[in-house]
Amino acid sequence: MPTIDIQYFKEDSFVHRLHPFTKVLFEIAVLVTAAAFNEPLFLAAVILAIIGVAALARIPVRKFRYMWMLVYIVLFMVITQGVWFTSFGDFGDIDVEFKWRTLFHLWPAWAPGGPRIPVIFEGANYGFSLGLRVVAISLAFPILVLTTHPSDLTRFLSQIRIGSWRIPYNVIFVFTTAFRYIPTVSREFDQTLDAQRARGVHFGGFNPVRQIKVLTTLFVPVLTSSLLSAHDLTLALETRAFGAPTERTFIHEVHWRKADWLVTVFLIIVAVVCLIMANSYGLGVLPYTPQRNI
Amino acid sequence: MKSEAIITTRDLSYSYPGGVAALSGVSLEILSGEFIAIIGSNGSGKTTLAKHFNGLLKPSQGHVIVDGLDTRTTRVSELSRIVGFVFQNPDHQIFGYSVWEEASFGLKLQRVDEESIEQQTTDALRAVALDGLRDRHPRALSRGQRQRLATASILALETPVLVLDEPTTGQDFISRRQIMELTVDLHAEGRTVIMVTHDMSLVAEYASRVIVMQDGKVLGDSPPKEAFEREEILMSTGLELPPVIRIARGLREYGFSDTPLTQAELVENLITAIRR
Repeated sequence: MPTIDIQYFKEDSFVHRLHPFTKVLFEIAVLVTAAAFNEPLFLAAVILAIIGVAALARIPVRKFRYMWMLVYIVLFMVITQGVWFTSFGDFGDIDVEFKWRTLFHLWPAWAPGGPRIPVIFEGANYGFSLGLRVVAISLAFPILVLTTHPSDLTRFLSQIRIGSWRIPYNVIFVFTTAFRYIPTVSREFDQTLDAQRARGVHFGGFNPVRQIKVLTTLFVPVLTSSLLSAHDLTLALETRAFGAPTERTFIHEVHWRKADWLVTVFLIIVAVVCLIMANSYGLGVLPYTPQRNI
Repeated sequence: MKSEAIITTRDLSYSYPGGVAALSGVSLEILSGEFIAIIGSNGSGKTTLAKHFNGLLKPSQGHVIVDGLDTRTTRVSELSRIVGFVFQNPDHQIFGYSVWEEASFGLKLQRVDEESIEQQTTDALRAVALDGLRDRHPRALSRGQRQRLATASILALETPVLVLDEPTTGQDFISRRQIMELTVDLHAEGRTVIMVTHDMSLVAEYASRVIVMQDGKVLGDSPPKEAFEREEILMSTGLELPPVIRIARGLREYGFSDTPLTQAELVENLITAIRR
């Protein structure tokens, strides 16, 4: 079982039956709503909704097991924002009475010298919401690939036309193949990890120079074998006449159903409502959101 | 002389994340100096069992004791000094820019002194007949040579126990012979050899003990002769008998009741039977 397992799995769920385009819309809706809010509670609601969709698709929990790594990203955001948040400078119309609340100091009081490096609650909260955005997007993204048969995805992409232009099949192929290879590379990674550990490489520890050295023992074999299998793949493709100048046909046809209309309309309404809520009424937006001048 | 158990598994069970049970209730005692073959069909739990011997996998239930150390609480890097594990695919481990670097890497990790690194690596490369290629880039080697290089990188560690995961799969006849001769030499030096394999002829010829796995359980554990006599067990695992034994089976109706393990043994027994 590879660590990162986002390969399509067969199941007859509502989500599986939807048209790939509807699912792409879902991803976009998640991006829009996650970007609209930065209040942790609102983002938590978005995440809950995504979990609901994953449950509807009957995706086994173990497929999301690797997401524990996100904990580090969230922690990183919380701490860095907690420390540096105030240096954003411009926070828009904040009440004059407003005061930063210090949670704790990274440099303890009893330790001699040094600036005490305060961690600001508002910053940590903002960092937390940034982390939750990453969580939301990372949770939502695999749903498309897990529930859509790769050839349906290819089919859908090849149907997109803008005027007479369409996405070149080579590009579509690269895109869908990349997804197909994520679990393979992940498995390769696990096997290399085993092989190196078996001869005494210890992963982990605190010496950064040593860790980088140790990582080369992982990345070199994985990269080399990826390149070699890419080479094998090109040979296999050519023996099957890849690039032959004919109109491609597909065994699977994907159909746009009534449910797709309903879901699409629903998603658009949700996304628009969320945007209006956040932009016009400031709902789900922290009062001390940093203002960025573009 | 009574040998001591170097690896003990007690009621070992293992499930892969996601709940697939791969081993259940495996209790074994592997004695120092044994030559063990673990056989079984694909997916029977052979490799999963072997990966417990150096702590790559930790038991879901039960214990694995390696030279007095519980694998649950011991680092793999620590266990790698006792159990050397040669993987099936050398390309999962080769990263060095020269044969020498690759083969000596494990020793450098163990902070062995320069002289011993030189000595042990040279010995290991000589054992796999790669000593003339020490400055060659590993990618410039053939697949068979890379397999031998991976083996050498483990041999250099001079571990008392060696686990070989399907060492002869995908090798031609000559490389197969070379690998087996090497293994026999290592065994003769007093190392404990554990071999996971499908290659029944090799099992018959070299192993001193055969462990038959099926569906994560130990189905049989005996010297090869007895293992091959219990045909029904081997049949149920879908394994084929070695040619020598199949010939002997065919001779049964003519009153030949032996289970020879090697060609020489078959010939000898046949001749005595004919002369009698």
